[in-house]
Amino acid sequence: MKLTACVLALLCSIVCMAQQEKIQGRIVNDIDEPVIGATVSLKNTSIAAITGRDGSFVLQLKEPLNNDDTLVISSVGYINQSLPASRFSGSSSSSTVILIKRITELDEAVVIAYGTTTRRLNLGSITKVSGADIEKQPVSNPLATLAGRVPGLVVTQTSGVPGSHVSLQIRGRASLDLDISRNDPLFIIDGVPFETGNLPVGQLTSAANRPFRSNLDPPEGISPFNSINPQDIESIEILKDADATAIYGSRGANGVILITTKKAKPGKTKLTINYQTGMSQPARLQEMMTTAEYVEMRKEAFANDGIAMTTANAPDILLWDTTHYNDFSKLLITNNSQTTQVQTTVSGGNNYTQFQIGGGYRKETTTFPGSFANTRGSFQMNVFHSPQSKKWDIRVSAIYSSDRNRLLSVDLARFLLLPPLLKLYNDDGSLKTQDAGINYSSASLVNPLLELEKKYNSLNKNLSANLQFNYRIFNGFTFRTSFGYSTFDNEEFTVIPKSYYPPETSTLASSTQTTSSRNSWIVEPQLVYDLKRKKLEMQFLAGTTFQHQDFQSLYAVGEGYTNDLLLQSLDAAATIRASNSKSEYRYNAAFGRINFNWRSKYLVNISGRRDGSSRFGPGKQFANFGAVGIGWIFTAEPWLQNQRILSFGKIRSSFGVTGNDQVGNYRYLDLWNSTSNPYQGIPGLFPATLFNPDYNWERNRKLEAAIELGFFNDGLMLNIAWYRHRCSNQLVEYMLPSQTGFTSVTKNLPALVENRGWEIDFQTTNIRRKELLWKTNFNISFPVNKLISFPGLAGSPYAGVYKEGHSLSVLEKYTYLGVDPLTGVYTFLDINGDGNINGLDETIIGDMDPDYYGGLGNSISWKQFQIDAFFEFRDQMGKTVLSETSTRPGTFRNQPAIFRDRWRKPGDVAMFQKYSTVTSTTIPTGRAAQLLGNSDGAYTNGSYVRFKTLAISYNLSEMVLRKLKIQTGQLYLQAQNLATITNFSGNDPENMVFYQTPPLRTIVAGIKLTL
Amino acid sequence: MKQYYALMVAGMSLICVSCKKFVSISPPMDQAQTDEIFSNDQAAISAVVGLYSQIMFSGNTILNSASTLYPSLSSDELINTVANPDYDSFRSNDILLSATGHNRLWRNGYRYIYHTNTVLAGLAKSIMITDSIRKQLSGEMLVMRALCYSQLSSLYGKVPLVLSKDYELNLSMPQTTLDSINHQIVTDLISAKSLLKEQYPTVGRMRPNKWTATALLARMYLNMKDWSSANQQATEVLNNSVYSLVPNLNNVFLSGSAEAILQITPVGTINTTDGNMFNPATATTRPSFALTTSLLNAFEANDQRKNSWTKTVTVSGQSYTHPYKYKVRTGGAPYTELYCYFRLAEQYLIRAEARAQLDDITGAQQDLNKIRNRAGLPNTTANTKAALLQAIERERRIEFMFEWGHRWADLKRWDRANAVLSPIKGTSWQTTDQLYPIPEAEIELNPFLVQNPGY
Repeated sequence: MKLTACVLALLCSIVCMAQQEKIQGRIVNDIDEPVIGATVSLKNTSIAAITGRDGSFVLQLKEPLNNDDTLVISSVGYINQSLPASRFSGSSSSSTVILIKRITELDEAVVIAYGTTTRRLNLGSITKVSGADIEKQPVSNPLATLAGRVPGLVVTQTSGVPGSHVSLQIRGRASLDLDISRNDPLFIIDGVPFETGNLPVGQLTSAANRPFRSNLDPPEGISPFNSINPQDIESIEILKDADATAIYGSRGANGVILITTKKAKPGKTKLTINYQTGMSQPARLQEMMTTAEYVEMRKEAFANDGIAMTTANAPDILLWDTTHYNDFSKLLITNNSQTTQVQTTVSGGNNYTQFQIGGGYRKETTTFPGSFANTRGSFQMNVFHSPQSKKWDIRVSAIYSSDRNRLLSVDLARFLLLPPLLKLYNDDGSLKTQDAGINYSSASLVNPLLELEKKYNSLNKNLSANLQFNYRIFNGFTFRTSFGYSTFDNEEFTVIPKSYYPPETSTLASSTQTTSSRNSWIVEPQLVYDLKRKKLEMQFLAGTTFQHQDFQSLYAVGEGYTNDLLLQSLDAAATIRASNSKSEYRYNAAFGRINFNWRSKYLVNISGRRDGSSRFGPGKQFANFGAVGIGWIFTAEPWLQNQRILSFGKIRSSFGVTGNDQVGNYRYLDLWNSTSNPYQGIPGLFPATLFNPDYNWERNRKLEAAIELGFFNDGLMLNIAWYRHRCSNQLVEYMLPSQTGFTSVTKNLPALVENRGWEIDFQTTNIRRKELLWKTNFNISFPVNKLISFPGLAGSPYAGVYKEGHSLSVLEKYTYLGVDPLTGVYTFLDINGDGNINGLDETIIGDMDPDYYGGLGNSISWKQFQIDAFFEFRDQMGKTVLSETSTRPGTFRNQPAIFRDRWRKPGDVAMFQKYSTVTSTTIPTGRAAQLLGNSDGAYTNGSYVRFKTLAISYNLSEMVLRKLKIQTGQLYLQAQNLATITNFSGNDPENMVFYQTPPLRTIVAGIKLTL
Repeated sequence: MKQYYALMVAGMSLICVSCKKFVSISPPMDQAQTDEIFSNDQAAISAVVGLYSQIMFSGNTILNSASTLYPSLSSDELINTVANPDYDSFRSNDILLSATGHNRLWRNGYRYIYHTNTVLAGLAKSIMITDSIRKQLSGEMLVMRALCYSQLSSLYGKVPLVLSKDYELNLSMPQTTLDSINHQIVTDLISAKSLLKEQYPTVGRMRPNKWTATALLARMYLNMKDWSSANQQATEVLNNSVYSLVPNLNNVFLSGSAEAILQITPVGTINTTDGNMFNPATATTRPSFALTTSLLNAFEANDQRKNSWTKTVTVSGQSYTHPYKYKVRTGGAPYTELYCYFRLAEQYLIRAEARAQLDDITGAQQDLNKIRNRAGLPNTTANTKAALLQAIERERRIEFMFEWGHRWADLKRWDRANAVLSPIKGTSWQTTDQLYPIPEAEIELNPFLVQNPGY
């Protein structure tokens, strides 16, 4: 300030003294915008000036220019330039200088709500994952590429079946009720909400579903994100705090994920081809017993129980061949999965018109036997145009994809529980449906190879198109609007052919077909006013949203097919049952934001939104949300200029309120559904749900404070953030005793859930030499989830589920004491000493939330080689196979091999209790096994470090490129889930489910050429 | 500057006219609202028959096979041939507090009760429904609600007597005394009798009529040991020329059976759930459920019901006798077998028992012999009250074997459960096993429910 004033005063005095030589010019950036507030000085003198609103400057000289006089131009965010001053001299000459933006990581564009900013000026908590990091991971679901890379984001792959669900959680669970709100963030692709969100779109069960799903688990199925090609993505921004998300109002409570597709850039026309191929295998599998061990277990169990083996209770031992052995994991779920992917992109254009067209194809087979696969074809395009005046511009972008999943109806991993001596083939090579009169016809006794006949097929078609129009009305005023249209169609069918059933049964073939379709349009007109002064930059944004979504689905079952020829034709069915569903969702909002930036030093953001949603009853539809963010870039202060350690420092904080309307449509109406079948030809109706006209928005108050530091010329960037999110007015499906007619009703609860924690991340450039660059990035999050208050918890249906002062995933369990060496039965601590082990003996043993998690990445480029290695880690409690109800060693089911270490005779000190054929909880072993599943003995350390990604690439040398006449060329190897370090005994510590295909280890090789 | 701000303000205010209209959506097209339903006769009828469709579609629930299966396992009628934690626990009278069976019995029972309550409330409030239809529909729902409560209280003892659809009122309702439940059932049935006509509202006997209400009322009075009322109600039904015993035992459960007082028609791809559940899929498949030795030994010589209503198969050298009242395993419309809720044979045996209790020995013998003669058995030799009651016990056991849990209910109301079941079940039998436990989940959600003794 002072200095500038002095210079100005000096200049004035000079002007007053005499008519002297001057130099003048204009400074613009690469897109021809004036650079305001740039400093222009004559080297080795005190003569300097600051550019005005049109970017022009005038320097009055005291003495004539020398030939070697140099003009130095500097501005925050731009690379300094030195030019011969003579270029600007002469009374009539006026030269234009183009300043090049300084591309440090601080000045990279970061996509935010309704605009972009830079990391330097950003006041919200936003993490960007770049397309380069996404491209290095050989996975089909873009959400899977985020694992470990974003502080505050937990990514869990639920299954290794291609196309299956990937769950995301930003800064912990805020909602009590997963049935209503799965705490899914809002997803926005190029400004258009992705309306399916992360919810499964299918209606049928398939191998991609969790095989033994309980009501507590969220629904799964084919992930809608599997229809989005990761190669089309330029960046994914994860918005967490109030400043970043409040402008999304009612839908920002669980964070927002902005997916930006690749945009055309001006330049030479390029054709890029990227081809890769590879294979996958389950990353980790638990070992099951062999036939010898199984038979030993069964016999020992009968002996322990004192039960004589009969053909009725032990057909496997007495009637079957007890030497026959199938390694079911080898047979069913560890076949090689093949991946092939090809991607081509054409792009080019000039400053006024740019285009990009991309097409991709990917095929990934399963690890099951048989020809099951996920294939995706995708298409992406965008076009940009503006007239030479740059008065307006228009951008159209669209992605379309067709994601076909040919699977079977169940995940074969569940059949690892089959007795390993089960014979699968008859002597004539046909599949067995019974052995020695015992039919393979119950849920736990089937021929798994027959299950391959139960085909499942799903086709997801996703179109998301967006038009953005900007019109610069006059100085600083811009009108812009976006029109978005998206449609997501799903078709599925499953067939159970006649060949599935034993030939002697009379059951006929059947098929089920479903379709669903979601159409949505959104219009968001906005008015922006940019105010640029020498020291002050402000932006005013006002806009409104109109959104409409409709949903319809159809479900049809055809039964009684007499042959398997036309199973997909409903006409060929003897009987047809069908049902359908339709709903509508409308959403309306007005929003505004003011950004205030004083000399890139003091920053303030104020944003607000008024939302209306049709998901609430009359009088409850509208609500207000908003946030304030403030920041101070203290390294811009003069007193920090004369040091070389700290190159950047910012303190920022934000507070605001966001909401959640993730509750089904029409829940406020008293509705009846049609029965699937008429009664005597009369259509039937039945009550759909209990209804409550009075429920209202859930509110999430978010507070955040952070410090962002750059050391040694930004060679080390360190961010530390603290946050506290408090979610109240909880929307729940309030559990009711079924005497009310239903088991729940939609309702608000005055409970308060808090998520707070620390998030730390840093990036360093360890070595920067001519041919060697080594960079490291690291992030770690320490989340704490807590139910702060819940008035009336003790008398509520949640009394047994939640505890005040503890995490929502609190575990209240028995205390396991080990196997009694005398009786060979698990023992537990009888805390109240009443001689019974019951609910009163449970204590809190912890929770299922991670204590900390994060990732560590290293990236080294040396000459033409580039190596990226990324590790993900998570410290958490693990749930072992002992918690599964299928875990009853001794019964007519195979068991994990760990049970070899069991109690056999008095005096034995063993890990596990004696085998027993009886599951009834009225006998000691049955009761003890049930208690163990609910004790701390069924929980273990589930922490892990996973070598998530390894990518090695080699860039062809200039010489080779010239010879091949291509612009660039690259050969690469990529691996995902290469290794996992853990003490966890089950399949995979990431999803901790048993008897389903675990996440896969994938290795691919590829080539990428630009012509 | 000023004009900028003016423009901004104008723009904002334009935008802020957020139309409430835009977010007010029309109700869903695939669902109906209660008010709409009860302003239209046809829609109201749909709401009533929806209950029957749901009952048949859901299969193994309290107003369908679950009322047969679970009590048959708990008493001395059936065993499951394949281990299953749910069936095992009912068979061994060590019922899990979280058994699947509770969903089928308790949860579905109250779901049906909600259905009847909401229809009854809708009909009572509505002014648009034709009076004759209102009467018919109300009567049907009263019968179905009474049947739900009679089954629930027979299995669980005291249960909450929910008569409205208001969940805030119902969610903490404690159990109601058996006297109040019985009183409510009787009151409902008496008003149903006055509301319903003698004719069935549609073809066949697939929706309750006046005699359905009367038949259930006779059963209720018998339970309540009101012998003369039981006698009177059963007589009202028996005096009806519409109903007669079907001579051929194989035809009793067929569509159009003259013996049926109420038979609900299947709606899906199978005939009855009983037929589907009890008949093995193939000749080499083990039936899932088999008669107990005790029941097999209870048949008198030449009892034709053994041939007609049970079937013996041999699988892997082992012979199993399975229920065979319903003989069709799969197959959609037209249905040959309908699910029989009330049939005339029960009215004969109700009256026989009531008459015996009222010391009308000859009358009791006559009624009993009707049933015995049809089964190919000679007239009863019992000629004292005590002997007759014993003969009726034996007869009911065979006539109503694996049918609606009659055996289990009979053993309890005669106070015979201990004497009969203790020797068969051994140590797993306790006196308190006569009542099923209140499901754990229900007690957790409603602390005012009190667990039955012994659990």
